[in-house]
Amino acid sequence: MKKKYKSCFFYYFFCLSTLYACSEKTNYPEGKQLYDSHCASCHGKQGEGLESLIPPLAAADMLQNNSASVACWIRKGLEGKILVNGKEFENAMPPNERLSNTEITNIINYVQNAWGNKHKFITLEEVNQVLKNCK
Amino acid sequence: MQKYILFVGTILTLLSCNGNSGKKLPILGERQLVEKTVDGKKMIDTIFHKVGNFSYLDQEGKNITEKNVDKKVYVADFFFTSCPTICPTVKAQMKRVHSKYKKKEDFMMLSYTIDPKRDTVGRLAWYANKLNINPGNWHLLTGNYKSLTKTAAEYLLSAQEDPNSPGGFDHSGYIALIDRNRHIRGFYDGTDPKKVDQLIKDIAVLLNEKH
Repeated sequence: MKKKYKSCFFYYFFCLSTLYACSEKTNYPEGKQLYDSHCASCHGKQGEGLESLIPPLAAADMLQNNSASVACWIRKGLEGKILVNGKEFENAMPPNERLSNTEITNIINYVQNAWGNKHKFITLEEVNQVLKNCK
Repeated sequence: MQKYILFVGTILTLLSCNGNSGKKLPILGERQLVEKTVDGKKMIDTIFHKVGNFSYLDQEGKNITEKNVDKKVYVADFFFTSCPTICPTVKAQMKRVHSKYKKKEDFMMLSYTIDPKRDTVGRLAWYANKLNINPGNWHLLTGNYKSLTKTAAEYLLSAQEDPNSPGGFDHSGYIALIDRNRHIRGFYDGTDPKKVDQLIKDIAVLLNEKH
């Protein structure tokens, strides 16, 4: 009987841990919602990108090295060749002029801390400052 | 108790194996009933909707017409390379279909642009290269805009210029599944991986259909 309880316990533990792993937790729910509706169709729900056409955002060195510029890329778009994890991409990213400074801040914080990405929190003030000086 | 669990498990496994056997896909679109005389007897015959003839250029500059899909099962969708919305999602899903069936000689994939002004043969070649789909049975097609919208309508898919839509074109993310006689047998939301799972299964159903 004891053995049976033990195996039941492991079974439920397995089910619960699977369910937990399936539901993606984020500290930036608005950022996730905005990302899913404005960015995911190109960059993918898991930030995986698309072949050599669209760069990934998950574990992308370009994001880690240029965290401040990301706000300008989102607002103004990006043209020309870029290098992400050693791979060249050249498809233009369209601008998103309608997103507010707060929305852009939330998207950046979501992306910079999703799918294994880990980056320090960026404040609205920092983003305001960056957006003033976009090229 | 243990016997009961084993029994339920076996039944579930058997049910999941039974997925496609004997499945028939409907012929979609308008049907016309026509009267005809066979051996002096009057009979009613059904004419099913069929995708019409077409002629476009693919990413290699090759002319692709209805003759290229003759007696083949194929999928078709409409897109444009500068599409800022659903196209990349649909293309990612089409890649899944492609990797599953790219070696099948009686299967093809046709992606028609709705932006032929920008999507020239050269631009499609660039796109196909970036998508890593060369060489193979996936053709990206361009041609006359009016013909392309007419072809879209024959697939019962919406695709047109619309200045109010993101990127300037309005189109659905649906993928149409066509049989060896150019009848439409299914539509699948190309932005939904589960619907595309179904498409992958249904392609196998059509490939196994007698012809």
